[in-house]
Amino acid sequence: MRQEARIRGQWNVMYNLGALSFYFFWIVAVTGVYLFIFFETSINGAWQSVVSITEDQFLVGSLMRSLHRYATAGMVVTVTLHLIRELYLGRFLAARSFSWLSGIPLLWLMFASSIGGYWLIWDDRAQYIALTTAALFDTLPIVVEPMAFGFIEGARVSDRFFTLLIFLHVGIPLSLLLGMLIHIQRLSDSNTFPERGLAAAVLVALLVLSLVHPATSGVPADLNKPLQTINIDWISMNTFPLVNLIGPGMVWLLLFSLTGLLILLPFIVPSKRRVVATVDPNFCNGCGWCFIDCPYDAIDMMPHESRSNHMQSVVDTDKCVGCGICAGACPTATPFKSVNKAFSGINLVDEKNAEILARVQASLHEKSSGKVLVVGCQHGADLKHLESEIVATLKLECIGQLPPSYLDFLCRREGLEAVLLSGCASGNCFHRHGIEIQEGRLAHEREPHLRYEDVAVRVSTLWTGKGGEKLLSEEVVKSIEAMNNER
Amino acid sequence: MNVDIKVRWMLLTGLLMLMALPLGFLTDLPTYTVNNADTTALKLVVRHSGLTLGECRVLDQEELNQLAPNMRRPTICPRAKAPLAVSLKVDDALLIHENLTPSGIHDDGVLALFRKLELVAGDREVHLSVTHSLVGKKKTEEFERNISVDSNSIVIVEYSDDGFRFYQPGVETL
Repeated sequence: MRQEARIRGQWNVMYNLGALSFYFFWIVAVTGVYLFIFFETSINGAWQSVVSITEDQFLVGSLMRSLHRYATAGMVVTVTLHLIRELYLGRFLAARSFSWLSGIPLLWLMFASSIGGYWLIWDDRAQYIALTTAALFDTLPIVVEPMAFGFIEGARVSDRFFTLLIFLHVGIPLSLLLGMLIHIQRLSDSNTFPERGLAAAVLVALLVLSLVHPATSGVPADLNKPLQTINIDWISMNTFPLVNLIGPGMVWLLLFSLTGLLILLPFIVPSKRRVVATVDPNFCNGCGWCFIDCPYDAIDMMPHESRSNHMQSVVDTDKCVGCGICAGACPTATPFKSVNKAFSGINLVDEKNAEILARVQASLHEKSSGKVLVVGCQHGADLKHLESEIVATLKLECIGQLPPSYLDFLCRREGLEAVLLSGCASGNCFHRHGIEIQEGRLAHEREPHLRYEDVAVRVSTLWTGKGGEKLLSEEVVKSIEAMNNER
Repeated sequence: MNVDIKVRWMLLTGLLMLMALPLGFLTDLPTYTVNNADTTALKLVVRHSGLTLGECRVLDQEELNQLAPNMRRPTICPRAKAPLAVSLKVDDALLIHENLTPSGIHDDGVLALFRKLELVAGDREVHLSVTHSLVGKKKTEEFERNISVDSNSIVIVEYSDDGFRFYQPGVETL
C-alpha cells in the first residue's frame, strides 16, 4: 500500500514539474551537442545543414532534432505550470522568496534560448523571428541604429551573423543552467531528476511524438521577399504575433509589467505570522539529525556555546520556513526521560514539542479505552470530523514535526491502541520531504526511529492530501474494526 | 517491477503520449499570416551622418586668451548635427512623418530611421522629403518616383550620405 502510494506520487507529473524541467533541459543539451556537430554556421550552410541532418541521417538526425524541439516545448510547459503551481500553493513567501525571485530571470533565459534555436534554422520562421526581434529591440531607447538595418535585404546578412547566433545559443542556455543551479541553492536534497519510471515514460512519449510528427524546416529564409503564411511555434513564440497586433512597445510593457508583478508578489502578498525554529542549547546534544533532515538547509552545526568539545545546532532564520521537521528529528524530545520530560533541543517558537505532547495527552485522557490518534498536517485533509469518543486528532505544521518517540510513549504509557498518520499527498509534501522523512523514521531507516515493535504494528499511514477526508474516515473505521477483532 | 506497476507505467506513458501530441502540433500549427498575399512591403531606411548644425567661426583674441596655450586654434567648429525631418507620401497620402535627432551625448552621431509599410500592389507615386534644420536655415531635399510594384515583393526607399535610392532587393534599381 505504502509502495503504491509512493509510486503514485513519484510518477505524478504535477508533483515533479521542477524535476521534469531539469530533465527536459538535459535532453535538449544532449541532442543539442549532437546537432551542433553537423550544423554549419554560414548563411548558405545553415538551412541546408539542418535539412541534411533531418533527411540524410536515416532517422537518427530527425529524432535528435525532433527531441531537441519537443523537449524544449516540454520544458516551457513544465516551467510555466511549475510557476503557476507554486503561486497557487503560496510557495513564494518569506524564506521561499529566494527560489521564487531567482526563478523569474530563468523565464526570460528559457524563452530566449528556445527562440534562438529557431533562428539558427534560417527558414521562413527564422526570418519572421529576425524581423520581429528587430522590431522589438528597435523600440527600446538603447539602440543607436535600428537592428532592422541588418535585415533590410538578404545581402546584408553575413556568415559572421551565424557565428554570433550559435555563440548566443550556447551561451544563453549555459546561463540558464547556472540560474537553475542558483534557483535550487536553498533547497537541500533538491529533486532535479524525475523517478526512473516517469523519466522513461516521458522519453518514450517524446520519441513517439518525434516519429509521428518529426520536426521539419520551412522554406529557406529570403529577406528579399516579404513573409506571408508561416508555421510558428505557439509555445515558445506566443508573444511574437502580439508585436503585429498591438505593437512592440505594448508587448514590452506587457512583458515588463508581468515580470515586475512576479518580482513584487513576495513583498505585497501578506504572509501568515512567521514561525521559525529555535534551539535551546541546554537540551541540544549536537547529534546533527535536525541538520540532516532540514529541507531548506536552514540549520548549521557550530561549537556549543557553553560546553567545550560539543556541537550545537544553529538556525538561520532567513532560510527557515517553520516546517518543524527539525523538532521531529530531535532525540532529546523523548518523553521517557526521568527529568525534563519531552524538553527538546530544537522547537518551533509558537509551540514547543513538550506543549504538543501535553496537548495530545490531555486529549487522550478524555477518551474511552481503545483510543485512536489521527495525526495530520496544516496542508493536508481536515481532521475535525474524525473526533469521537475514542478518536483524538492532532494537527502539526508538517507530519515530519512529530517525534516518533511520542508514538512509543503514547502507546506504551497512555493506552493508545492505534495511530493513523496522514498529511499531504504522497510525493507532494508542502514542506518537500516531511512524508519521506517520517516514513523513514517509522521504518527504522533514519534517526530518530520508532523503537518498539508492538508500537510499529499499531501505526498506519494514509497520505491523501487535501480532500482526503472520506478516505481518512474509512481508514479510521477500519482501524477500529481491526482493533475490535483482535480483542 | 510487479505487473501492477507495469500496467501503471504503460498507462502513464499512454497518457503522456496523448499530452505530447497537441504539444508537438502546437510547435507548428496553426499557421500564422504575417503579410497579406496581395501586398508589397515598403521599407523606409534613413541612415545619414547629418549636417553640422552651425558653421565654423574664427575666434577673437579675447576668446583665444581664455584657452590653454595648446588649445588655441583660430577656428572653432560645432560638433552637433542638425535634426532631420523625414516625410514620406504615397499617392499624396502622408504615411510617415518623423523628426529625427542625432544620436550621441553631444548630438554628433548618426540620424537613423527604419519604418515598414504595407502597400497594395500596383502603380504608386512615392515622394520622400528630408529637411535638415541648420541654425538659421533649413536645407530640404526631395525625391519622387513613380513605381510599379508587384505583390509579394519588397521596395526599399533609402536616404543616406550617398544620396537617395529606390530599389527592390535582388532586382535591378527601379
